[in-house]
Amino acid sequence: MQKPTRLIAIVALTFTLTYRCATAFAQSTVGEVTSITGIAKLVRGGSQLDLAPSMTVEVRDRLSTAADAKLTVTFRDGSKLILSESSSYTIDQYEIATTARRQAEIELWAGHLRAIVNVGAGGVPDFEVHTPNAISAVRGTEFETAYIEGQPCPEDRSCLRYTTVGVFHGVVAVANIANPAQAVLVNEGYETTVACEAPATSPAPLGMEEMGAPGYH
Amino acid sequence: MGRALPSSMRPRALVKAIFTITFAVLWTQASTAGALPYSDFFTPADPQHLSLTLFASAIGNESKYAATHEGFQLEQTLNPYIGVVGRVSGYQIYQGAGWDNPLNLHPGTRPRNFGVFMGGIYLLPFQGTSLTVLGGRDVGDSNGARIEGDFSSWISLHSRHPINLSFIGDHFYNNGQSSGMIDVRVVMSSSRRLTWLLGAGGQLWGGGPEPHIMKEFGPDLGLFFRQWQTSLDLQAGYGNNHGYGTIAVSHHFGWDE
Repeated sequence: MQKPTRLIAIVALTFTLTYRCATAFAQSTVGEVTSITGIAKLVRGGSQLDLAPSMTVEVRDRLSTAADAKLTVTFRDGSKLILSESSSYTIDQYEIATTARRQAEIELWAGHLRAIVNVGAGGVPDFEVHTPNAISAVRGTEFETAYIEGQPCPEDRSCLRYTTVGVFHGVVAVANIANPAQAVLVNEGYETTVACEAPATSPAPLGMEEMGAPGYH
Repeated sequence: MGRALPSSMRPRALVKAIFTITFAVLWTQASTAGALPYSDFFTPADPQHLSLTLFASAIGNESKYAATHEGFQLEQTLNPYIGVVGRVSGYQIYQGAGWDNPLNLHPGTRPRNFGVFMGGIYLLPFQGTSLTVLGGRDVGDSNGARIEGDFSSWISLHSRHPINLSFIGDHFYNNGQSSGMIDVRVVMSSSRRLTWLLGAGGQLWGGGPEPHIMKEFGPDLGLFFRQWQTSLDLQAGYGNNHGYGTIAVSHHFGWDE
């Protein structure tokens, strides 16, 4: 009778350990690289890796692109983040239960990030993109955030760090991180700018910067 | 036909019109901006920016004026508010005379072709406002000098429907004609791919072979394809040359340096 007991104990222990590992993997692995052009890096636990297609990404990973590079990460809930050249972001939080997202928080450190948020069956998503001076909270599905440092902001040339948020689908609430309560709702087809400590500007139609250039008539 | 314009007043009237419109809009902008933040005037633009615009346009009207125009324009920033601009373009005037005609004589039985080489500076005094001043020379069937001033300003930029006011003034020394093109347009809608503009505009010209002030006005439609950095503008209307139509397309490239 000792052998069956020992066998059952080994099976139970194996199952428990496997289950815990699988759960831990499911919790930390939130998506994978689905498209990459040029050189992109990932910093995980202090070590730097070259990103390649199908590589998994985890919470607290920092992803960055070199010049002329572009990186797309598709998350397990179907949402996508497209990082333009010379840009970087960190996945601060990405809670997923089965395939439904509960909460996501992305920190954009530099450059341009386009988010295509899958609303799915989970209702209004709780998806936020933070920059060092702004917060964009999604109430829609597709928007682009850019954080620019070291260049004068078109809205206030004395400010050298600013965030722009352009909305392609749905609505996004944008606020200065210093005053999150004073949010501006940006509708589809519009964009806003957050300069230094100033509140987000009233939305302007997309494309106004290009149409204000000297070559445009 | 239009009112006669004394020949000595033609370029002066054009310059006055440009400055009046420019200062009126700048004053409006300055009063809303509150201050002129030009503290970085003597620092180079960071990053420097080079842009290239390819353009082509055609105009035709019932009195049998037909012309096409195409070329490219390069713009290079110097500081955040000033840049240099160069333009090379070709004109074909197939028949008749119109607002952008520098020729002394009508083309007759064959098209007249000439190239235009221009250079100058542009100013960006406020966000969404630009003033370009160009001078140059025609080469070919027209071979005189010409000057041009382009002004464009966006009003109520942070609103659902910003308004663009633009004015282009030219003087052709080859035939002494001056012309002005004015346009007022409103952004009707915008999306990731496309911005729609609706408005009205027209042309005024006189001097040289044309002893009266001529004019034509009509509604226009603008499309800006954001992803392709391409704009398409259409205008149709009526004036001294009866019905007319114009089409213009331009494509923009830009590089940060």
